[in-house]
This record gives sequence, structure tokens and C-alpha cells, in this order.
Amino acid sequence: MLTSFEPSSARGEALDRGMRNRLADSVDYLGTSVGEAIGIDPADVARLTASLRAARQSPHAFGAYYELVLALEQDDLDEARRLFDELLSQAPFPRLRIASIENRPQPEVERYRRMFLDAPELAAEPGPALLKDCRDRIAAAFALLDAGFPQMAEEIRALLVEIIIAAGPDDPKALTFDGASHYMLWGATLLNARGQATVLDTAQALAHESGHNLLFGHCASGSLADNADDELFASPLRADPRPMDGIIHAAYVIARMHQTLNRLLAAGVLDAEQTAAARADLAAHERNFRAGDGVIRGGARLTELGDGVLAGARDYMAAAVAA
Amino acid sequence: MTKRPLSAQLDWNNLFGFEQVAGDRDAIRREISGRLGAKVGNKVGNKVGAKIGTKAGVKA
Repeated sequence: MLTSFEPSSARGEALDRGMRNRLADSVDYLGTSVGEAIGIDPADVARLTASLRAARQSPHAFGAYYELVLALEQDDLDEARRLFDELLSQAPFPRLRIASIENRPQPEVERYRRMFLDAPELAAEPGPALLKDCRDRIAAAFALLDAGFPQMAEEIRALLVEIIIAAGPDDPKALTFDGASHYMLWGATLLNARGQATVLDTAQALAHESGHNLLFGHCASGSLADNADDELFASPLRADPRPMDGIIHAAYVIARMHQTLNRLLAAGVLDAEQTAAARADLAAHERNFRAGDGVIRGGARLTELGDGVLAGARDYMAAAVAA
Repeated sequence: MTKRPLSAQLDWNNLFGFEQVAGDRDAIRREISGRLGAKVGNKVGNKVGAKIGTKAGVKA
């Protein structure tokens, strides 16, 4: 069942397939509706949609599509043609890539910065030592998950096609970020190389950010809640008030981090220092989930999808706390 | 005969991600007007994101 709280690679693959098929349907519609007007060859559109349906894609296939529709909405035909050409140039993206933010063509660097963050300058290119430390931590985090919670590791690999590493500000008083995901960049997640200090932190960050992608996949056909987007609520994870969708996301990914720590503890794969850190984090996640769920219960008008998704997280947390 | 602009030929109900905010299309159009380029992803991302997903992770 797709909305089960238990992670699985099959679910991740099914959501990815669904997202790519929806993208292909829309590209096909664009080709039929406006392709001739902007000089797009129908054969190229057919080749692209076949590729989109057949294999995993770069997050930029989705990013370029969203920007293409918006360019058409502004009747900016030159930009629309450029973005359609970018879409046509997309090649399948078969396996998880881990790379620094500037290790790609400049237009993709700029798209990642502007879509992931309200303040693009927060995501700087990490220096070689910082980048290596972060890459090593990600590899160790996957190894830890493979050993203690392989279903989570496999689902993360099925959901994410690219982990982008950036360096947040090193001023402790500055606005910063730990990680970021965006529904227009399906399969991508941005990690702050300074956002996690330990392998256990990174394992939780991967469960957290892939959880946002999981919810984006669930929401391809509908919202989690019917609240208006200008109704703002206190978030358990952020200082700024958020729309109800953001509160549901926060509560869900907190439960997912809790589940990750619980399974790693039960599997006996953590050393003494990690065990102490996991127990402290579990207590914080419990408090934060309770706070977030309280806001949801008090103000959310959940859809059937939102109710189903949250039920899994609530049932998991209730059972875990009672155990 | 006046040719219809391309935007008028597109029905957002047929476009993945946009069908959920098709009812807000005029407001979104006003919001992004003149902003194509650097910020358009953010502007519409915030608008659509409130409906079907959102950026997450920035903290104070």
C-alpha cells in the first residue's frame, strides 16, 4: 500500500514511475498544443516522452517542464523554445548521483539555487575538504542504513536520483538550512555540508529529505489538506509560520526520522556514542511530532489522502511511544 | 483575424502540477508577470507548493 508508513523500494519505484508518466502525458499535451507554434518536431516530442516513461530522469527534466509552462503562460516564446530544447536534451539518469552544487552546467546550478532556497546565496560551493567530509558521511550513512534499516536505504535510493551538496553559512548566527527539497525538482535533495555533524545525523537527514519527496509523489494528484495557502500555523521545525501542508510535511518527516533511529537501535548497529545520541534525538522527535500533530489536529482540513498518510505516521508514533 | 496567444491555448487542467491550481491561474499569472527568469520558480513554487508540496528545511 503506497501510503503505508513502512518504507520500501517498490513504493519508491512506483511513485517515480507515476511522476514520470504524468510528466510524459503533459509534455505530450504541450507538444500537441503548442509544439508547432514554437517549432518543435513531433518526432522529438515522441522520442522524449518515450524516454520519460522508460527510465529515471534528472530532476531538471521536471524543473525545465515547470519553467516551460510558466514561460508559455507569459507568452515568452523564445524562453519556451529554449526550455523545450533543454527538455529534449535530457538523457535518462539511471543511478543516484552525489555531487556538489556547482558540479553541473551553469543553468542547472542557478535553477537548483533559486528553486531550493528563498535566498540562493545560502547554498555556496563547498571547499574540497568540506565536500569530502560530507560525501564520506553520506556513504557511511547509507552503509549504516543498509546494515540496520535496509528498507529505508532502498526506498531512499528509489526516491532520490541526486543528492546535491552545498555549504551553508559558517556564521552560527546566520539564517541557514540543513536540507531542502522541492516538488518541482522530483528526485533531488539539497544537503548542507555543515548541516550534519555525524553519520547518524546524515542518516536522519536522508530519511527526512526523502520523506519530503515521498509526500510530493503522493500529492501528484491531490493535496494533503484543503486549508488555504495563506492560513499559517506554527511549525515544530521552523521559526517561520507555515501553511498547513508544511506542518504535515514536518510532522511526517519527524516520524520518519524517529522510525529510522528506532530501527537502527533495535538492529544493534549503533556504537555507544551513537546510541546515546539516538536516544536523545528520539525524545526530541517525540516532542516535535506531538507539537506538530497538535497543530494539525487543531487546524487541518485533511483530505482523504492526507488522512491516510498521517494515519500511518500517527499509528507508528503511538506504537513506538507505547513500546 | 487575431491569433490567440499560446497561453490561451493551454488548459492547465491538462498539465501535471498545474491542474491543482488551475482555479488560481489568473492570480498566479499576475504574480509572475514580468518576473520570468530568476525568481519565477520561487514565486510559483511558493504558490503551488502550498497546495501540493513545499520547500522544507530552512531554519532560523
